[in-house]
Amino acid sequence: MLSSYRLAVPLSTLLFALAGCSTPLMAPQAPTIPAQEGQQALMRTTDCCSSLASLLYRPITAQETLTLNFTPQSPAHDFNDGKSFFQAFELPRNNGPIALSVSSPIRDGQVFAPTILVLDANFRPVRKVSSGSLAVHRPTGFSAARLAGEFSVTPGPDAQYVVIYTSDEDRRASTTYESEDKAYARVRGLAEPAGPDPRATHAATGEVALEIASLTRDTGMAPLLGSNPAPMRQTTDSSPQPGAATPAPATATAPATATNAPDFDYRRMIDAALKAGDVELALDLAERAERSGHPGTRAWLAERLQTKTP
Amino acid sequence: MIASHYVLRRPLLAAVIGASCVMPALAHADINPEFFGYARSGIGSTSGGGSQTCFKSAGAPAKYRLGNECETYAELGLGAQLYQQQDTTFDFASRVAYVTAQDNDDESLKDDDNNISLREMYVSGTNVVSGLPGASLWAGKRFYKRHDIHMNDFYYWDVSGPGVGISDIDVGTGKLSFAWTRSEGNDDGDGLFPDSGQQISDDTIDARWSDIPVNPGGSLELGVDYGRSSLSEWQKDYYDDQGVDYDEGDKGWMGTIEHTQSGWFGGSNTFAVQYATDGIITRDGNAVGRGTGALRQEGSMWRALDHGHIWLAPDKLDMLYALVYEDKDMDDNTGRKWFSAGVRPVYYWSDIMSTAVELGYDRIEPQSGDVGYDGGDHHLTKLTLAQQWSAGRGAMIRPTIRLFATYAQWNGDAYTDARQANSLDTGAGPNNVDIDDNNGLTFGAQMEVWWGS
Repeated sequence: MLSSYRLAVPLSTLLFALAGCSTPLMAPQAPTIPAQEGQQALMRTTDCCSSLASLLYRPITAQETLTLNFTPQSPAHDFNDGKSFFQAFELPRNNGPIALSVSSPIRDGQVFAPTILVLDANFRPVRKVSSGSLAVHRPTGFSAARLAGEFSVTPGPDAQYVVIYTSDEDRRASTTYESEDKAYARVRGLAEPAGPDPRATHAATGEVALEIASLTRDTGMAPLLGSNPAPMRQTTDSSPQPGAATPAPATATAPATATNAPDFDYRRMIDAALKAGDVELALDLAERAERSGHPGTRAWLAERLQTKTP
Repeated sequence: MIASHYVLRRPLLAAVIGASCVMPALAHADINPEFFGYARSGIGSTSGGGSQTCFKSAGAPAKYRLGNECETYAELGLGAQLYQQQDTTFDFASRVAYVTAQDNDDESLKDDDNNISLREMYVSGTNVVSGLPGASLWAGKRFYKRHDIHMNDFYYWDVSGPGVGISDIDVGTGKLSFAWTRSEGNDDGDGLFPDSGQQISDDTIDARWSDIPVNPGGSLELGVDYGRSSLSEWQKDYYDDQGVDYDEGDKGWMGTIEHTQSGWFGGSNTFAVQYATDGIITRDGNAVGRGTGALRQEGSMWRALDHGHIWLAPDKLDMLYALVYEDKDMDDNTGRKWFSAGVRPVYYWSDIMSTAVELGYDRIEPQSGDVGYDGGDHHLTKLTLAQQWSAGRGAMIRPTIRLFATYAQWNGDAYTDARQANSLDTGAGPNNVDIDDNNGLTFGAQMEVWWGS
C-alpha cells in the first residue's frame, strides 16, 4: 500500500515540472505552411515596391543572429528572376568584412531555398548566391536536415544591401536529404529505413536563420570608416531596370567611392580575410586597394601568400 | 646475406615508389573525423527508500524503458571517410560502449555491473567490387543492420559481431546482403574452458533481401540466418565423454519476414514474423538470429511483432507503440510465452517542452515450473509520466532531459526469500522493493542523447 507520504515526493516533483507548462520556455514555432498554400498566397500578394531601391531595408549590426520568417504576411516583390516574399537588410557601415551564414531547416518535407542578393549603395545587384550553391546538411540528432552556406562580404559602397528571397529557379528545384530516422539508424548501427531518401519541395514560405559575424572582431579593430559616418542612402535616378540585374562586379564607380575612405586599412582587412581563410576576399581587397590609391598592396599580398604556402 | 638483402630491397623500393606514383594525387584527401554516439544517464529513487528500481517481468527479454532505466550507458563512435574517388569510398568506423550502475562519482569500468566494451571497428568499401555498383564490402567488428523496438529496447534481429560481408547489392528489385559473423558461447564448459580462446566459436551466416517494394510506401525484407557451433576436435571429445548430445542443439536457423510502411499517419509501421530453432534460441537468451553457444537446448520459437511511430495531431501529439508475441517451445519444458504491449504518447507544449506518458504491459506464461523464476503466469503493468525538455518535437528527437515518475504493478512476490527473481527480474538494476510487494513507485531524472555528423 502506498502511503500519502510515499507519493508526496514524486508527485511534488511532477507538479513542479508541470508548473512550467503555463509558461512555455519558447514561443511555439510557427506551423509549416503547405507549399501549395504558400505559393497561392504569394500569387495573391501584391508587389510591394516598384524597384529594388524602394524595398524596406532593415539595418543590421555586424554581430547578429536573426530568424527570418517568410510568411504570407511578408512583403513580396517581383524580382527579375521571379516573384518572392523577401527580407532586406542594410549592412553595417564602418565595419570590415563580415561573414553571412544562412541556414534553412527542412521541415515537413519542404524548405525555403534562399537566394542571397547583394546590392551596392545604388541598389544595383553586384553579387547573387543562389540556393544551388548551398550545401545539404544531414540531421545531427539535435538539428534538422538543412540547406546552409556561408560567404563573406565587405560592406561599403560596393556592397551595402542584402536581399534574401527565393527565385523561380530556386523553387523549381528540390532537395534530397537524409531523414531523421535514417540518421538515427546510421548513428546507432540499426538497419536503415527502406526506400530512397526523401525529397523536400522548395516552398515560397519558410524560415531562414541568418547569422552575421564580423571577420575582424578578433583583431580588435576600431571602426575603419569612422571618419565619415555620413549615411548616403540614395533613392536617386538609379532605379535599376530589373532586366539588367545580372550580377556585375563593381567596376567604374568603385574607385571614386572607395577613395572617399582614405583611412580604410586594406592591409589589416586583408590579414583578417587571410585569417578567415578567404583568399578570394583578400585578392578582391587587394584589387580595390590598388584602385583606390594604395599601390603595392597586390605585391604585398602576393608576398604574404607566398610565405603562407611553403 | 647482406648482398641478397640489398638486391631484395631495391625492387621493393621501386615497387613502393611505383605504387605511390600510380595513386592519383587527389586520393590524399583531408581526414574529416566523424564523431557520433548515443548516451543516457540520470538519477532515480524508489519511493519508500533506496535507489531506483527498474521494473522488468522475470522471463521477459525486454522492459518498457521510459523512466525505467537504471544504468548509465554510452556509445562513443569515431570514424572517417578515408578515401574517395568518383563513387568509390572507403570508410572507417569504431565504437566503444560504456555501462555503469550510476551509483557513484568515480565508477571503475572493471567493477561488477560496469563495463567498457569494444563494439565496432570496421572498414567498408563502397563501389569497390566491379560489377556490383552501389554494394559495400566490409570487414571487422560492427553493428550489422540491427532491428529493434525503441520503446522497450528490444532487439529482435541482430547478428552483430566480428565479421565480413557484402551488403546492399542492387538486384533491380530490392537489395541483397550477405554476412558471416562470429559469436562465442560456453555451454557448461566452465571448468574445462579456462579462457575465452578455448570457448565455443559460433558462426552465423546471414542473408537478406531488403527494400522489396510491395505497395506504395511499403517494403518487404526477407532474411535467413543459420548459426552453428564450430566445435574443435578436443571439444567434441570432451562432450562425447560427458555424454552430451550436441547433434541438433549446436545449430539452428531463423527466418524473418518484415514489412515496413512509411507515410503511416505521419510516421511508420513495422510488422515482422520470425521463426527460429534450436541453437539460435535458448531458455534465457533472446533469439536474435545468431548462434548462442548452447549445445543441448532444442526447441522452436515463433515471434510476431508490430511497432511504429504515428502523429495523432501534427506537431502536437505523437505516439510510439509496440506489440510482441513470442512462443518459445523448448523440448525440456523450459520455454515460455511472452506477450507485450505498450504505448508512449507525447504531447508537445512547445518546441522544447513535452509531456510523455508510457504505459506498458508484459505477460509471461512459463512452459513449466522449471524456469528459474515464478513458474506461474505472471504479468507486470508499468505507467510512467514524464516532463521532458528536448531539442524539438518528435519521439526520436534528442537530446532530452526528463523528470519522471514510474508506477508498476505485478502479481506474485517480487523476489524469492533469497532475493532471487520471482515475478521481477533482478538483473535490471537495484532491487529495492520488498520481497512480497506487488507494486512500486520510482521517480528521478534522466537525459538521453544521440548525435552524428
